[in-house]
Amino acid sequence: MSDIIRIQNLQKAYPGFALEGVTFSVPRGAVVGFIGENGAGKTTAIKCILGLVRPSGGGVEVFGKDAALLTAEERGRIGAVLGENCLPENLTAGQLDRVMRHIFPHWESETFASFLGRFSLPQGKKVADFSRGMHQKLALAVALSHGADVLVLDEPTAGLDPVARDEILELLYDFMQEERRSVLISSHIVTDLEKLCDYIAFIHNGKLLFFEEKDALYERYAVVHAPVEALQGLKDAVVAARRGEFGASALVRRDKLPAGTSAERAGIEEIMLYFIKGERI
Amino acid sequence: MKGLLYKSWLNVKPVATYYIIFVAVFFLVSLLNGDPLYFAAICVMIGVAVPLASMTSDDKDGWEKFAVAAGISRARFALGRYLFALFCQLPGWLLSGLLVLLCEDKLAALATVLFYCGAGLFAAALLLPLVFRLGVEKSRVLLVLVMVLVFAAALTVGILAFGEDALFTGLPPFALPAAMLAFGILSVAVSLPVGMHIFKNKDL
Repeated sequence: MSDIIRIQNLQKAYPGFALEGVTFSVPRGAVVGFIGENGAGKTTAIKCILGLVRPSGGGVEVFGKDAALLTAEERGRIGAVLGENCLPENLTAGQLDRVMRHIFPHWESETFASFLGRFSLPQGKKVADFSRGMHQKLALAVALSHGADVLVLDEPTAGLDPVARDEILELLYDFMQEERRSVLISSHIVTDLEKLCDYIAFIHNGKLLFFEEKDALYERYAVVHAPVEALQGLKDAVVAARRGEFGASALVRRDKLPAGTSAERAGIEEIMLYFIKGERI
Repeated sequence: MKGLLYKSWLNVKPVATYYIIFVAVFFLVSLLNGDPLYFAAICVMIGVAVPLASMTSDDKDGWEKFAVAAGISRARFALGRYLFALFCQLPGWLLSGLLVLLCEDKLAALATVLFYCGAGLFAAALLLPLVFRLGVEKSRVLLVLVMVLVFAAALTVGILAFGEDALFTGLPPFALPAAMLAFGILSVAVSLPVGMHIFKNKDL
């Protein structure tokens, strides 16, 4: 499987924050979930992919080419949603259509109009008057109306109610019906990513903690609830532990767990929390 | 480029009427006084205020990020900003030309207009790299200060040069206006690559 996006040893230094040696890829036909806390470096990495930020080191390749050297035509094959407020607030959806016609080489007005209809987004209303959900749907409609082969989405479901989030996820499922397409999506709402993603890239304090197939994560990790003393006996298997009022629990590696030990399936959110907040025992 | 210019126009379209009324008042004042000085000077201010308003709107919308991510090259985006700033000055120049035709002393009126055309170009040339470097929000105060200074300087020099008690009577006619116009054109020629360079290396 070829990679549509390849990030190799990506570095970007800001005062008080640094992205350090981030390496992962977005394979063709796959959805990669990019998770991490606020300020972990997700948006910086996404900005590097989109050519908005110059990396201090390492590199980003998109469609097998240095991201900085992509032509307008090639950039047009990337559909981007840049977090909140990524569309002109003072324009109506109709005006947006007329602007985008001159921005993207392959803008499809009819496709855009069909998305507006599907989401019941009014043509004549200003973007500023849209609800948060409508705004994000409009941003996705734009991203999907210029022949994109890959979507790069920074927090597209942030602040949305479950119904709106579900509609957006449905849209992404539809987009992925064509096998050549890929999605890189960052989100705080890990449950959404769990439904959608094939791979998970987890970043913490500017460093990539893991990039794994989602199913491999389920196979590798489990959660064990037990007293601290019992967990100490599983030291080789324990990745990180958390102590609570009613005992302790630990994220463990299934392959190192003694046979017969009772363990629960670890969700992506739990894995993330143990990696960030867990302690060694 | 068409998309960038159209977007810039849409940014200011809702307030365009106010600008037009403002400009029309000064046009009338100049017409009644038979002197394009007031109108030409206000055009310098408007020529800066309109692109600034448009860039403020773009800044709020994150339009720079969107456009660059969409494949608009940084050079093209920066050039779009300069072109829009020049387009904002164009109506002022044309109307000033009309005033020249309507004034009694056409040569003196032409000298005034040329002088302020230069001042307008200089103001735009100064402001755009500032915006690229500092961003609209951060540089707003500085921009207003620069605008007021340029406007005040241009007005003062204009009055001294072309007013009733003009100081530079010994100078050949059109020496100062031509110098100011040349200075304005030169400053745009210098500002454009500087602005492009700043924008090229800017993290968005």
